[in-house]
Amino acid sequence: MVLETKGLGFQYAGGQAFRFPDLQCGPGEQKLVLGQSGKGKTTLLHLIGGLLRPQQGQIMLAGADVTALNDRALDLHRGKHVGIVFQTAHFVNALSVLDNLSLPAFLTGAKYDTTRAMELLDQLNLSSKAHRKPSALSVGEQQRVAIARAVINGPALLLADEPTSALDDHNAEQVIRLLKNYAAETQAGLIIVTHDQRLKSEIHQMVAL
Amino acid sequence: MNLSKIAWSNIRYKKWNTILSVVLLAFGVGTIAMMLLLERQLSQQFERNIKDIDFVLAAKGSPLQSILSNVYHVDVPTGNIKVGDAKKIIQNTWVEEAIPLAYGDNYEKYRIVGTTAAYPALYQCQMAQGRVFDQPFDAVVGSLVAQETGLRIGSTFTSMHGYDNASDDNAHHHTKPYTVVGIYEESGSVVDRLILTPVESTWMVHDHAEETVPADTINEQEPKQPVRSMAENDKDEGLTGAEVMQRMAEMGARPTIGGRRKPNDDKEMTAYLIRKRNRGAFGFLAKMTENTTMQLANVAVESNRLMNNFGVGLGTLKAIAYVISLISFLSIFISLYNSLKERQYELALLRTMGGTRWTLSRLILLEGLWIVGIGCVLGFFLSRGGTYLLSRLSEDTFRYPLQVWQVQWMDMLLFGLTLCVGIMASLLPAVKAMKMDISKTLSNA
Repeated sequence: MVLETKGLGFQYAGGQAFRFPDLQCGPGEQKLVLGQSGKGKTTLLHLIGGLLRPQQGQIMLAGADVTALNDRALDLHRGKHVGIVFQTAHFVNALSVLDNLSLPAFLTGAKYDTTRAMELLDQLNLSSKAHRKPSALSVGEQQRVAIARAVINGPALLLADEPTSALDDHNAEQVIRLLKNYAAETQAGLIIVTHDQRLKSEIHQMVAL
Repeated sequence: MNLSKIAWSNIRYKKWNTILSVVLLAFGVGTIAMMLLLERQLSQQFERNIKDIDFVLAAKGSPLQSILSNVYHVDVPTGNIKVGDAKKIIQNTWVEEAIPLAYGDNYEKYRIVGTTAAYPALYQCQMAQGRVFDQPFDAVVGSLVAQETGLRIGSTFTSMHGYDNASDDNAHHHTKPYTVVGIYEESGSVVDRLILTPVESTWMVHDHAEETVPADTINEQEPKQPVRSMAENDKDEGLTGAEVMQRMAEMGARPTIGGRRKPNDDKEMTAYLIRKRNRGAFGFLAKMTENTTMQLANVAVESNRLMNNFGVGLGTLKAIAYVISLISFLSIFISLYNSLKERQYELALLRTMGGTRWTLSRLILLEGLWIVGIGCVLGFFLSRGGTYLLSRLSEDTFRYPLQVWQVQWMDMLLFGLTLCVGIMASLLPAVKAMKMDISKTLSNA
């Protein structure tokens, strides 16, 4: 198993309490987590990705109990084993597209492979924009680069938070294809949280919140 | 990729913020560094030139001018005094030593000063080449003069009338040439930029002795003249060939020849530099100058006044520079702090990709360090460039060469301190980046 959660619960200070169904995801498995806004989709994704710490329950990720890791170890563990794609793509705006792709390797101390980065950009038809600043790219292009950045470290688990909801049908289709293909190629688990109904036809394993 | 490259890219990305911070810092630190350099060199120069001189005996006028002209050679003298009058004061038990100075001419703006061997000895001047002056029209040149004018042993030159400005209205060449017989080693004193010659040379030049050579006229016939500077003395006739001979025979004669009127008593001297024998000399000697055309100026008192005047100017500039530096630190702080808000997503993103809290705070600190570092380097060159410019600009007026590239521990301290304050200015933004809640930031995206 890449991911296994047990009895996860989380409550924001003075806010709503969430209890989440247990979730498992094996290598190459692809799951959709569906739910209306306010059901805690993003909270669940942040718990799994280690951006938030749960008040109850346990998260086994890539062979480690992440709830037991200290902050520093958690940051590194996430960097090595999890790739995250957000609703809107963010970059270090001062760096070129190619340099942005080198960040995951740099931040986790892994070896950076420029050829691999160019290969990825090539597949996205973005190699001509490798040396441009991210802000020079269209929203769809930015989201595709964000996916390349999420997969470049070869993560065991790919998390996507509403990756398509800001995109039109054409771009949405491209993005979901990319996510599915990369996950399948590298045998990574893929979990997408969304309320975008268009994705139901693409991924068949679903968890409802 | 490394953190410092990311930091560098980030500050380049916000280039106008960065330029503002860097320019402010460079000006602040540069001005302070320049003031430190000037202060240091001026006080060094001043102290070196005061040496053991206690008083200056010269014509009445501003005592400060008297010191400036006769000790530092940066101003015109107050006038001339009669050797005979001066003797009454300098042949006193209160006086340990009196060094005569007679000048009124220059060569390529370097003053030609008639004096005795006691003057270079005062500054411990060593001969670099040649010998000491002992005949009229022997000239020994200071190191800077030799370097700037190209005068060598055996060179001859004619003097230009006036103190240091060759373009004076009444400037004209004297015909009798000087011969360079020696060159001093650099002493760091005023002698570096002077040409020294026996007192007699100055007298002879200004008496036109070399032009009028009627036989056996006697020396005591010189017309009485009011106190005038050597530079204005030219029209006076008087010295004869015979007298020239006599002068030469009296060479090196200190004006300590007492008693009856000697041939030289009517001769004029620009000033005497006086070393006192014991405490309380000033009051006593100054009293003696009352009702004469002479005045005794206290070197320590006037130099202090001078340094204080300089000090006010330097102090004001320094205060302004400190304020500019403070503003630059504020600018660094504001620029970093503001950028945190603009960049909160990309900072959170660095965390999701494996960056730790410490990575983020190091990134912000490095951005601050880049700005401070560039500011310091620019500031250093600015201070040296400014000093060089000032040194060139003031060269004609003051002829005090400044050592532009001198670096002392004070400079190191200044840059070290700047670096520390720079780090402090970046510390709060860095801590804020460290404490950032990435989940919250990213949920609001």
